[in-house]
Amino acid sequence: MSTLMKRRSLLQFFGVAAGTAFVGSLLPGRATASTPIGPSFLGGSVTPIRLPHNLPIYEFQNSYLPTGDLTTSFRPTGGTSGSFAGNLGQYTVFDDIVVSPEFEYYPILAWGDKVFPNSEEYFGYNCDYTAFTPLSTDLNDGLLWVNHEYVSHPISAVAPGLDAAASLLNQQATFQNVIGFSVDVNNQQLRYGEFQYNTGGSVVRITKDGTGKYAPNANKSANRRYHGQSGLKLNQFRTDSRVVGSLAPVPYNTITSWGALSYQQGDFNFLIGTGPVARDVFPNSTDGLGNKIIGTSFNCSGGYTPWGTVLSAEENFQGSAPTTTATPSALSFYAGTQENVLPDGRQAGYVVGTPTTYADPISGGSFLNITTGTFVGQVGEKYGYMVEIDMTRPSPTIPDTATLAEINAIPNESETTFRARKHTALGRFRHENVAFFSEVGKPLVLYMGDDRRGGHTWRYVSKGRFPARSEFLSDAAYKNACSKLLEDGTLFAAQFNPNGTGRWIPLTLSAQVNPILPSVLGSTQATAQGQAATAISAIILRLPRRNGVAGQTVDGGAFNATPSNEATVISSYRTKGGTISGRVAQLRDYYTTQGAILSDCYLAANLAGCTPTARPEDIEVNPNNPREVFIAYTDGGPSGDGYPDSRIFVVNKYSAVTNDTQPFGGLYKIIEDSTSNSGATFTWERFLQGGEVNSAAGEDGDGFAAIDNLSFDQDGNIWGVTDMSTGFHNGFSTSSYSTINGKPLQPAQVAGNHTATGRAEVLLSTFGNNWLFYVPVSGPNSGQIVPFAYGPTRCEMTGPTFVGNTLIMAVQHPSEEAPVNESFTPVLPQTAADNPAILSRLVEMLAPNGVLYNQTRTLPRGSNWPSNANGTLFGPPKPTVIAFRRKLANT
Amino acid sequence: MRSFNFFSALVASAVALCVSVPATAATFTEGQDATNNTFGTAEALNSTDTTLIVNGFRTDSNSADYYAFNLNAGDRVTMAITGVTALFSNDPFLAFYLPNGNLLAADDDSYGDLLPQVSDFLVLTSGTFRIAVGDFGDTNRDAIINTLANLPVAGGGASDYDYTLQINITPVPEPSAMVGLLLFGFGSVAARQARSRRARVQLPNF
Repeated sequence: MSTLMKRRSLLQFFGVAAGTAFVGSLLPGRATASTPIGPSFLGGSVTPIRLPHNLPIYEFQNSYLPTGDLTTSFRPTGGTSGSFAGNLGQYTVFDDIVVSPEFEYYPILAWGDKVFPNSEEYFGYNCDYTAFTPLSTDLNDGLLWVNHEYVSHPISAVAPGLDAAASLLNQQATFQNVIGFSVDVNNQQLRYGEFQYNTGGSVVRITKDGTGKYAPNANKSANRRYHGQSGLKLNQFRTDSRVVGSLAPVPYNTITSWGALSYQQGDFNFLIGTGPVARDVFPNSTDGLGNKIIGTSFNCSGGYTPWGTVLSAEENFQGSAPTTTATPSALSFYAGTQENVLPDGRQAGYVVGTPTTYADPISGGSFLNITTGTFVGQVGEKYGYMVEIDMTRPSPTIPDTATLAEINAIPNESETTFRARKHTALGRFRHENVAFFSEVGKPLVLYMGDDRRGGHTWRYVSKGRFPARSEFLSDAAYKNACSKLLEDGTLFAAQFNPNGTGRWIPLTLSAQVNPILPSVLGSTQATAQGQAATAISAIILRLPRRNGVAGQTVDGGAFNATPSNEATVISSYRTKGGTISGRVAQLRDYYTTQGAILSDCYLAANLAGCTPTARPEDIEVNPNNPREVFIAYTDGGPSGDGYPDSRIFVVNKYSAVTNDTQPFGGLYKIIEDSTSNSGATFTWERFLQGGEVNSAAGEDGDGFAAIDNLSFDQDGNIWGVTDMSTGFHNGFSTSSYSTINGKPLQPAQVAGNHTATGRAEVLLSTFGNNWLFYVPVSGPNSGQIVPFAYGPTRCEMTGPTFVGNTLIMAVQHPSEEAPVNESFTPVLPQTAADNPAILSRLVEMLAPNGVLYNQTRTLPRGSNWPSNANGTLFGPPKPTVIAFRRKLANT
Repeated sequence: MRSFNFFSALVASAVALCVSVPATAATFTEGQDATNNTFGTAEALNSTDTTLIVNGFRTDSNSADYYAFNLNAGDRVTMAITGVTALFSNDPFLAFYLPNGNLLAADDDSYGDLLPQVSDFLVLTSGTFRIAVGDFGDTNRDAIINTLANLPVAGGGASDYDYTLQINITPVPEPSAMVGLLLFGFGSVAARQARSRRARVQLPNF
């Protein structure tokens, strides 16, 4: 496909014509995840930054190549604008935000910042989705919402999920340096509680200072945290106990705090549930807390509702026991709760590992081999939801001395208060994102994604109709009425047909058991690889496990159907093990209530025939045409978690041919057949395919990988970020470190080349660090992917929110699972080869003509950002919310 | 006597919904004084066509419109409501009953615009099925929709409005296409005689 054709098609895909950009705000009520407000952000020319790999724009447009010498600074010291077309034989990556030369960035809020009325509280870890509610018409003052998704190394050497625990043990952990005390001590309750405190979200008032930069307005009463332990004081009312093997039970009513500091004491800032799961399941939860919920965690992306509240998405709530061995070399992701549920929607027991205790690798203490949820008694069925927060109305304050009766008497909303709530009608799954379509008098429509391999693409249609603001006397009353729309409605998942049509399948008790056969899901891969589907072990379809079905003897959790067993397994599911006759089994036969179905959305949707997809990382409604819904599928690769439909997604690199299509996700579009977006059918298109630019192949890549957040700016330009797994950045692994040539802690090189098959993640090395781009809808670059910025070492850039001349973003996990760079005293003259914190390797690259070439890639091993940018060159890396703005001299 | 009019017509441009609209369809018109308010008094949709279209009318307070039609084991059926006057204000739902009277499926809003649809539903029993059209205010609506309780559509709800019920039937495949059914556990269905034409309704006494 020619460049010109691609440009035209790209704009066509987004529903705009080149040269006809619309300027102004979006159509009323058609909110995207982060509806832009105010005047234009870009406001002039942009020179694309030069990335390590090829993009079409470099062929006809000057770009900006950052320059510097890593032996003197890990940050760039300058840059060159010019023509950098063609293949680059060498490329240096820097530990900084590198942005188009017409723009600058500055930090707003960093992990550990104490900006709350309680001076001991602090801004949480791994910032993600952001949203802004203005408090002044000039946008100079407002409330900022920030998600905190999870904790990861280098917060601690024993952070959840660290797969290099042994080699990074006793290496630099940042928690004590930033927060002021250590969690790497023999105190599991402190560590677990503090890690959970670092997740959730923050509300912080930000105000522009004399230089026009947003800064936190510290100690304002609106500033507050919602976190994984919010409401822990509720435990005092419980009668159940934590049972771990043969150890003496520990009553949960004794676990109401996690440390000695004021914020660690536990409070009544709990959340509530709404909708079918709260109605049908929570009353029977073993915590005895009914509709009350302790904490919100794992908050990834989200959405800003048309009525001005935030929906924050609880994503990876599923926790695993820390280890399966007594002395772990790696720790599983133990921050979380039980994902598996019983037919009644309640968790299939707390997560307890074997053995039941293990030696904490850093303190030597005997730790329970359980998740954070098991530790404090968070039942799994209460996590994995969309959480609604009103930044302008905090939850009602409840005194520590309140009785349960007194608590129950306090309304959950008023003119000035709004208790944060989990809307279970939107389903329980690994929520990643949400976008809205609203028109007064019609049902409210939400689109959502389940970010797991094989997760589904979801739509919710409210029972009630979206009201006009004029129908209410106050903002609070209006917001409350709109929020109620999220309590009663129908949840659908998409079924994509290979011919470009599709339908929405409602997830109700009536739905028939009609799964897509695993052999059908894998048929395209099988054909491409010249194999029988039965020979491909990755092809699975996960279904709810039930006693008596497909030979199973217990209820709860999942069972894998495969091409090899489908003939008997699917038959068994359709008759529920032979117990149903005269009709096809339905979801009502597998779940006791509608709430139970919504508590187990992923498995129930597979059972009903919804299409397993390729990790839908973000969804946006087209502001130009709301019938169109853009979906960023980030990764087609399968795993034990699930298998995306290979008829719809490229799930593997199918051959050793060096320029075969790469399975790095893609950009898709659903076009609703109905004008209200609530109809039963749709059509769909795939446009962009992840992978290196490769016009020599049949299905060429478009020069990106692992597309994630999408957003529209005030001019209608489309913005996107990449979320390539940090374990593959620049061809260096994070799972194995060793001493090489006398240099300590050298990461292993990711082995492989362009003959790789399968998920082929080795090829992610070509793309450098995670980066931010936009697609202009007007001007000379219209229709092109324009790289705008890239982030520091081992980070992800997330949560773009446009506020007037400012683009707010979150920079998550700099230096993730990589040693923090330390000062190095070389034998002069220093060379890059001397410094253990400077890495270099040859990276095999694919040119657009399909020819391979090598690039010498040089980069810092870890990150010190943003400390290095603030004058502390070897200071701790910190997840940080930043702002981009055009340099004042250029405006 | 129910005031029903029946005619077969070419409806190539009929309501564009459901799985497909074939060239021929049976169209019925329900009168405003129809008495098909119970399972036992369901109006028979006497046609062997595979698309049945009912121009119905809800009357206030006690209206619950039941219709009876025949299906063969192995048929797939899609039923939806369209043509509702004052769309978004009036809010019907559907309840689908087995020949023995047990509730098989129900839906409130899946067709869009607050309209119901039971889509691509495979039946494994031959006989006379009933579809009931209820309204959001129906006495049993919440129990039927939220819990699939085995209850009748009892009546009640919003004021008068017109609607169109369309039933699309995909007949049981011919024997040569029955391998899949046999493979996946529907041997009893496959063993039955496949018919491309459907039988007329024989309503039992209730």
